[in-house]
Amino acid sequence: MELSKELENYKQEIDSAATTEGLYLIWVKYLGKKGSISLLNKEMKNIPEDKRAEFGRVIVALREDFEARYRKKEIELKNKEINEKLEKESIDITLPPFPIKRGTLHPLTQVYYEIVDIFTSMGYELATGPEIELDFFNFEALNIPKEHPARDMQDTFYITDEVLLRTHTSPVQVRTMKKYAPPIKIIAPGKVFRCDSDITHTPMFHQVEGLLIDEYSSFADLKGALVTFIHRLFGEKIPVKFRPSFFPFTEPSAEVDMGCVICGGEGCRVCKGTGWLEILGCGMVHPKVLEAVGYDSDKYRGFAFGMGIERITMLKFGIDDLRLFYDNNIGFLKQF
Amino acid sequence: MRVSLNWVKKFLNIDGLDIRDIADKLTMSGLEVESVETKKSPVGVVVGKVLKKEKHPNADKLSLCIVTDGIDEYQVVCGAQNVADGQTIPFAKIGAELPNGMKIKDAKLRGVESKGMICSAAELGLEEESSGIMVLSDDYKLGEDICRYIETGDTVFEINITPNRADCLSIIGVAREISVLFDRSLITESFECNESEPCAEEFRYIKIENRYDCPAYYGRIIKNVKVTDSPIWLANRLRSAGIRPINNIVDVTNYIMLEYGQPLHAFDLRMVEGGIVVRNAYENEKVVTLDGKERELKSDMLVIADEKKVLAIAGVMGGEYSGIQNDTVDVFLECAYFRPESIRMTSRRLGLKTDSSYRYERGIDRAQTAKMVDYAASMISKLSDGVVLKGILNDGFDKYETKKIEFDADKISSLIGVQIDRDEILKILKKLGFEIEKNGVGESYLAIPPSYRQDMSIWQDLAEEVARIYGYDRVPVTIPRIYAESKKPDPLQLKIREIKNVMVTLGYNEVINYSFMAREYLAKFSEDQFIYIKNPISADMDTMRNAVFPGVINSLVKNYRSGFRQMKMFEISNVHLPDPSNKLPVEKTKLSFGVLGEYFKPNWIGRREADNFFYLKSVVEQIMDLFRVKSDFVRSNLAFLHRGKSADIFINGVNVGFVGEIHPAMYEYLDIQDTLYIAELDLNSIIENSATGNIKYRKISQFPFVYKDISIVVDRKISAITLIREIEEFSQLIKDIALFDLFEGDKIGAGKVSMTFRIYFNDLNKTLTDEETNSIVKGIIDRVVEKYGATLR
Ligand SMILES: [Zn+2]
Repeated sequence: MELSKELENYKQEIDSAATTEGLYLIWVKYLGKKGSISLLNKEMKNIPEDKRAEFGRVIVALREDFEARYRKKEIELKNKEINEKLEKESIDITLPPFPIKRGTLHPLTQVYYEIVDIFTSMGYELATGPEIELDFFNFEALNIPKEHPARDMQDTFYITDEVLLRTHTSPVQVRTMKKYAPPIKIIAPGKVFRCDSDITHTPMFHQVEGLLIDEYSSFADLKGALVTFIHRLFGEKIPVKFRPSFFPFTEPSAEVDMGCVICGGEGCRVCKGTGWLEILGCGMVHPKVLEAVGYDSDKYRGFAFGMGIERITMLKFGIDDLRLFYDNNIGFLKQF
Repeated sequence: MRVSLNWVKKFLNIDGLDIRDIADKLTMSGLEVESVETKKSPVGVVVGKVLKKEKHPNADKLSLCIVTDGIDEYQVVCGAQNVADGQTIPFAKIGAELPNGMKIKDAKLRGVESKGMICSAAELGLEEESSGIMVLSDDYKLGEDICRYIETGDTVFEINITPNRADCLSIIGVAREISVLFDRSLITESFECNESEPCAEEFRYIKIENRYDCPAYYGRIIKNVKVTDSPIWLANRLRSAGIRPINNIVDVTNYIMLEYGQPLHAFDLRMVEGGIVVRNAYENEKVVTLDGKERELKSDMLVIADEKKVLAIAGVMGGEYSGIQNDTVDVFLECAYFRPESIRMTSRRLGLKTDSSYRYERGIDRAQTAKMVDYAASMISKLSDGVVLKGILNDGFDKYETKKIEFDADKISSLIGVQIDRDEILKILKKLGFEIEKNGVGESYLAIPPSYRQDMSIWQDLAEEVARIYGYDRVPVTIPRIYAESKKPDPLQLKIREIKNVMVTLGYNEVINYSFMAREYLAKFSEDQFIYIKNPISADMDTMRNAVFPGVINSLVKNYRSGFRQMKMFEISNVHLPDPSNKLPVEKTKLSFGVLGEYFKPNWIGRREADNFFYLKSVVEQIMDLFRVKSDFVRSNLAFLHRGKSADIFINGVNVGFVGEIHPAMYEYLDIQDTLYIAELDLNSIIENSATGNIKYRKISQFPFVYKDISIVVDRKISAITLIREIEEFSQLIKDIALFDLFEGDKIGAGKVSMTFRIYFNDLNKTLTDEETNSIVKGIIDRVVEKYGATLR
């Protein structure tokens, strides 16, 4: 039983098909309703009965062979065509995108929140208060009566004889203590103002102060709180030292120095060759302050501390000119 | 305060101590040594004698001397005019090194050999400038190193004295501190004064009219003084402290002030008519002070006067005419104690700060005042050949009362946070000069502070003394245990942080401006009353801002001037408005943001030509979304804004801010050519008017959204928001509306605008059919045609 040789042409035709469309036409030619392989079924009746089974097998084999070749070619062509499409649609992915660029937080804000986050994670709560204050809250209640030499430490902007721009965020401590009974554990960040303007002073700057009041805390606890803070802010390896100082609202008082982060303690211009940087002021809350807010100073005690955000920010980012913070030069701001 | 270690040596043997170690220990115990200056001693300079002086053969101004060191003779060329035969002089031999680094070598001057140099005081580092060579006492032994006789090299500490440590505003105070830190005993002095008849009382009297401000006033009269320059050693001491020597009388008063912390004043007795009266000034009484300025006094200021006139402002500064003159013969010497608050008030109100007022206002040692007048009088008499008259003049004095501070050693330990032995605590206090008494039974004690420690009043003060001598570095590091009640965080503070992050995400750079600005500048933006600073740093920082946006505009314009052309900036700050019913002003927290130039920087993608207004408006809406509120935009009539391109922003009828382009007049004022858009939101008002409580969940529909588009043409006067609201409210099934095509033009007629809306529908319970949505759309069209005269396109 011999089939026409022409029937075998599909092998070559499939091989040479160039597109999926052309390939489909070959399908139609052989396996379509009137396709040459399909038509073989109609010839079955002309085949002698004893040969029909064999003829049937030949047709099935032929069809299977066709289909196998066809599927293989089809996958090949589809892949080729997809690749061509991808190639054609390709764009220059290095072109700049639409300029919805992220802005920047002021460096002082970044450090402000970093400090606030460290203390809130240690259980201190954020407290705020007015920037324009009464002399009472800014000075009197903090054991700085009128004509006290400590007022020299803070040149004050006055609105009236009684109303001033706060020179530190300590009045927030006073207001908080007046409002809540102890124990208390707060930090008070914010803007403060002093009548001073030169290379190392701006008339407005930012402070963070902290206050803890309970019945047991000690100077050793204050050391613990601040060493933990400095280590979290500047790294575990930074050495920290406490030395006696004076603030009217604390007794004992201390100034806190940390190892210079610029030179690593070797001595440089920033630390004036000492290897140490003054970073914080602190102390045990003065009983007069507790009494001014109506606390029992025999029962309660605690500690307070304060620091300037500008100084810490300068150290963190290596900024060497304080005035840059308030110049708002866009070239400066965009760096952070 | 500058402290010479040579001077300290008068009170304390510091041999064998390392200077660095002294500085460190002082710093770690509360006297912060800010700098250490070292002045070298000359090396190889000996006592010499001029045997013969001749003229230099080749130079008129030089002389040729033969100098001996007691062994050899040297030929020396000298340029000084005052060199003379027989003088004992400091002689720098070949190989000597002077403090300024100069090395003495063989030299030939105008052809004549010179083997060494005769030194001036300046060359030995004893003066800044000398007019000739230094002439020494003939008692000095020839050939000896002059450092044996004259104090040359020195180390000077610059110490930052905190306001509580008035006792350390003196050499003795610092010496006392070092003696405690290094356990060395202090050398004490006693003061004797050789008096002569007649009695001082016969010449002048003292009358104290205000005993409250002047509890003690002592005077001495010294007659027949010769006013000259002070000896080098004295002048040098003053210079080491940064004080210029004047004459042997005034210098003594300064010397004792520096050494013991007691300010003194010397008057020319001729100028004291009748007697000394310590009284309050008369209102507006005038006096010319030593610095040549006329001062107008107030009636609460204390003065030193005589029967007719003011001689000095008590404790602050003497009068120009009452002081020591070159021809002064008789001196009235004042040594007093004034109440610190009184001196400070006067000094502050006059803007006049002196070494004297500085010490008085911090509190001097009251117990030594009477001794110091004797010390000064005897020193003046020695240096000026004057005669001290008999008796200390005074008008009685308030007895100085010693304080007794009750303390408990255990409480001190507990406050410091480390157990320190009671005996160690007592030992430290005693070393510091406290007297300790047992207070009844138990652990209670009484500490009597030394007279110079006026800063001591409560047991916590003692705790600091103990802790600083024990060593702050020896106090352990412990972690506080505290159980403070948790308070609700301030919602505003939380929101501020969120807003800042949103603004940054939207491409804005944060700025921080001063809270005070120039009055005229702020007045360009507001006609309201401002809060003014009484003592501003300068006129351009004299007014508290009542809004944040003038600051943002200022930052944008400043950068524009530096050449930046496309910027987005924001600031959140408190601002202040007067409150007539309160002492303190109203404080509000505001957000402002502004854009200068194009909203987006130039790019290849391009954007629809829309007014920047709408970008800023979308920022406003994003902020409102943070607070979960809806806002309304109503045309604004703020004077500094472009009337056609600005809006006031409302929440539930409350104005919470504005957004818009600035007015053409503002462009002119600011002198900028690029567009500037600005917005401001009052965050307090937004919070007050925003939703509180939790978000309530709503069921989500399982059925698809469908949409229909409608295009209508309306008169330009009909605002988009009117139509959107109308459509929104038409049916519950409308879930969203988008305006996605907008144009004007001839095609649709003048004064008309075409808008195409896409309306999204959804039903919770079923899929909406075409018939249902079509009927809603038809209803909408009928409504806008009827109500707004719209036509369908
Ligand atoms: Zn350094």
